[in-house]
Amino acid sequence: MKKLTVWTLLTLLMMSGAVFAEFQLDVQEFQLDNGLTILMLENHTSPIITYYTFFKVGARNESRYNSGISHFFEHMMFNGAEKYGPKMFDVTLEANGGYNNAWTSKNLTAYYETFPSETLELVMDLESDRMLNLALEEQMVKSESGVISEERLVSTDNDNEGIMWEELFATAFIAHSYGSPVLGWMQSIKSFNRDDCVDYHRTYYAPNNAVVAIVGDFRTGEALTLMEQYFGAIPSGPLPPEVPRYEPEQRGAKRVLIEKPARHDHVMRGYHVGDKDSPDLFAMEIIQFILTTGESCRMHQTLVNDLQLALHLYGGYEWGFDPTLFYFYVAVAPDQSYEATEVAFDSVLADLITNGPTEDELQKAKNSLTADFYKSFKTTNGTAGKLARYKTLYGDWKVFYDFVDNVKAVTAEQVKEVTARYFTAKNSTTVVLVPEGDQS
Amino acid sequence: MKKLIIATLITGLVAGTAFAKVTLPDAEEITLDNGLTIVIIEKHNLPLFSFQMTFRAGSTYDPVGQEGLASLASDMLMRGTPTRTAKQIADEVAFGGGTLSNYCGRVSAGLKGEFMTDQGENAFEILADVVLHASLTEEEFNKTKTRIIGGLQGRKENARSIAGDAIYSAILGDSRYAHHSGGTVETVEPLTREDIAGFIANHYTPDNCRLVICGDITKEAVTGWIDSYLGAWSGTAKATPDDAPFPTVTGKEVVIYDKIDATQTQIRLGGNGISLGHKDNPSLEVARVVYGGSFTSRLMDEIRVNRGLSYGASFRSSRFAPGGLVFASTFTKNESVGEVVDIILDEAAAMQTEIVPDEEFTGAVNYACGTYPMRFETNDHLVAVFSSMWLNGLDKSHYEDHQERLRAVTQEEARDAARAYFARDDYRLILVGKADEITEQAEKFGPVTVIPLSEE
Repeated sequence: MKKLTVWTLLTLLMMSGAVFAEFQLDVQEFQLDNGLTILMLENHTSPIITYYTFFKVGARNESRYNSGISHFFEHMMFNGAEKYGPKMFDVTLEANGGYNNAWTSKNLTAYYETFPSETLELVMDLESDRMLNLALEEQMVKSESGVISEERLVSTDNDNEGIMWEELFATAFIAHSYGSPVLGWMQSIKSFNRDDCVDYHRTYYAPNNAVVAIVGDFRTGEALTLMEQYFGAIPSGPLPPEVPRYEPEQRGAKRVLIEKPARHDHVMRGYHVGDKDSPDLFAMEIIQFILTTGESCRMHQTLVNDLQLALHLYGGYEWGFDPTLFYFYVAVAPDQSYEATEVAFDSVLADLITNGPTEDELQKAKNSLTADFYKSFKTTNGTAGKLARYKTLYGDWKVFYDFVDNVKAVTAEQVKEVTARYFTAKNSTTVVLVPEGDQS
Repeated sequence: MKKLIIATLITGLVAGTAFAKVTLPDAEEITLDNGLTIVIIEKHNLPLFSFQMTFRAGSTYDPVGQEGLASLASDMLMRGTPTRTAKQIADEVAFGGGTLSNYCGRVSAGLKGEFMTDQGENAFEILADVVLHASLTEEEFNKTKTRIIGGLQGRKENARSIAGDAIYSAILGDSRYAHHSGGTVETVEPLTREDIAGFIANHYTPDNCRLVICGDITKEAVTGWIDSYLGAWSGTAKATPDDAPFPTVTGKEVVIYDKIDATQTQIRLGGNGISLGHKDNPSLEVARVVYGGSFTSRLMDEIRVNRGLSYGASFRSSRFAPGGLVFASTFTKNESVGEVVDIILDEAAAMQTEIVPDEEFTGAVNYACGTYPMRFETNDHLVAVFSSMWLNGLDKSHYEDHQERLRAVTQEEARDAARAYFARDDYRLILVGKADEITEQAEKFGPVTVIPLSEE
């Protein structure tokens, strides 16, 4: 009954005159003695639950010599623990009506399960088993190496965008671990052994380096009791080592030219930008929208619609612990050149730097970003993921309440100034892929 | 042995599991004098609503030789009206924090969107404008066609796209369902603005449309908007020919699309499946889950988990009114192609000859039943479901009784479905990879045809 009130309240608040102004979720936050943070939000509209676990570790925690270990380890979390042996995590969950997945980024690693309400305790049993007693059998390490090699082949080595993506980050970063691919270099993937995984588990998978978010059809009190029962005895660990933030200032524009079989030119461009705490973060959100989101954005209108230089494009960046890269990708039309595309691309940037956004354009970006923010709470999965991500990134999930206000506070002058400061030739890295032979 | 171990461990966990039954929400259906049917589902948990405006106007309605026409017509809806340019349409939608996009599948085409409640009337005004008043200017037509042709050329870079298109063509032959909805460069190039206008006049009519709205709206508000913006809409859809049954796949054939830079091969292997509403649907669905329909399926287990030969493997079933197709889908490094195809066929043979053990079978049924409610969680899900009901002549019981029908399937029926629909003597095998490195491995699976992608 209480939770019905929560979602009704949410609706009423969002529909009121001050739409969204007082958006509140009745999230209950707990921390076990071992440091495990737990966020719970009841929602009884569907008989399902999503359970997320975030670990504060990603590719940024790697060196160039063990690139890919975070992602590799993510796979190993499904390969058997003490109670639930090899294959049993998935077999047990699916046999009880649930599904799961996981992902690794440059900053974070996340696991989630969505399942019928009655399966919650089983999920806690499964998750606690692998947090405490992961088996890490050598045979499974070798087998998983083959799986991840294939993942790399399909998403990078045999994918033109994937190849460019890897080159872009490896070229833009010469010191920081953001330069290494999340999947890892092929040599690393093939060389990981059991000891690597044991060290990694010990270092990064302690409960005090994790955040759990549970959203859906359950009762908080009962769920908390179960969490204490399943996770309470897992010992905390030492905090993981700090990641060096160092990346020397870029001294000039960097370029990479790739030649391989292709049907058209491709262009990727990156600019060094700030981290998750940057005062420019929300201006950057607006800039991303104005330049690359939807058919009405500037890049689409100029490159795709008006000049017909491009087939499609996108841009964005990952909120990171350290200063990261804002990237653009443009699929050049088959009868057009990357040179002409880059000229047009630069003119779009130059116009925003010179004239800033129009008032309508700025308001459109704010309205859309605001609506998208709230739409992300439509599902149990979206809500749980958002809660855990903010908690892991910022140490406080309630930071997301500020998102809308922060976006609304961005001014046209700020957009202009931030664009001018970051989107410079000196700060750029460009990767171009052309059909083999075009540059010979 | 492997299955025995698994079975012993999970028996206690799955016994007596009965997951929540899907119950669709109440829906209000209205039919206007012009033939337009509207379905309204009120769901007031968030100040959002979604809609889908569906027309029987997908790529199966492409005239022969004009493949891609339906898709291009769908795109042109968003390219401007006498009162709005394409950019203005996109601007207005985004300004309201909404989304509006066209789509074109094999059977249906139309528009989908999501808006905030307070943008309801604005959303319907824009929706009606683009559907009723698409300008189809020469300039926008030429731009759109050029971009689509470029996209079709770019599609040839992607081995997954090539393989996905090829398996449909290989199994469905001359059927109207065989081709990719976007068509080909050769069929799109000759299309004219008049072709688009004719297609829209013949298919984008109120009697050929269902509009489903779900979310934080009221019947009173929606009917008011409909009266204002869609009430005067008129037109009658052109009769379309009945679907011919799908051709029957006989014998074995292998087609290699030679991608000279590929170090990995995309693999598709399949044949005839079942039509919508076919009596074998529940048994095939359970057999599909066991064989290749979940992470713990036999194909995933053997190809990925046991042998580390791929990142993923699945078995898909696509069902349409006149028939269906089923196919396995995976990829592996070039040197493992023969081994992976052997696994696909061996696991199919095992499903055809042996009964699935009790616990594995129960686990598959539980997975299918337990994850089923997740398809009905959001407004977007529900508008898709209620649109599909109209499109395919289904009623609520199709969804609400689905879990019960799955639970009624016996192990023998699942085996029989595997015998009837899984590959054995009649199949088509598509390989997109480097022919030099995979042709020899492929020859044992049937006569091989190599198609250089440079000539595609």
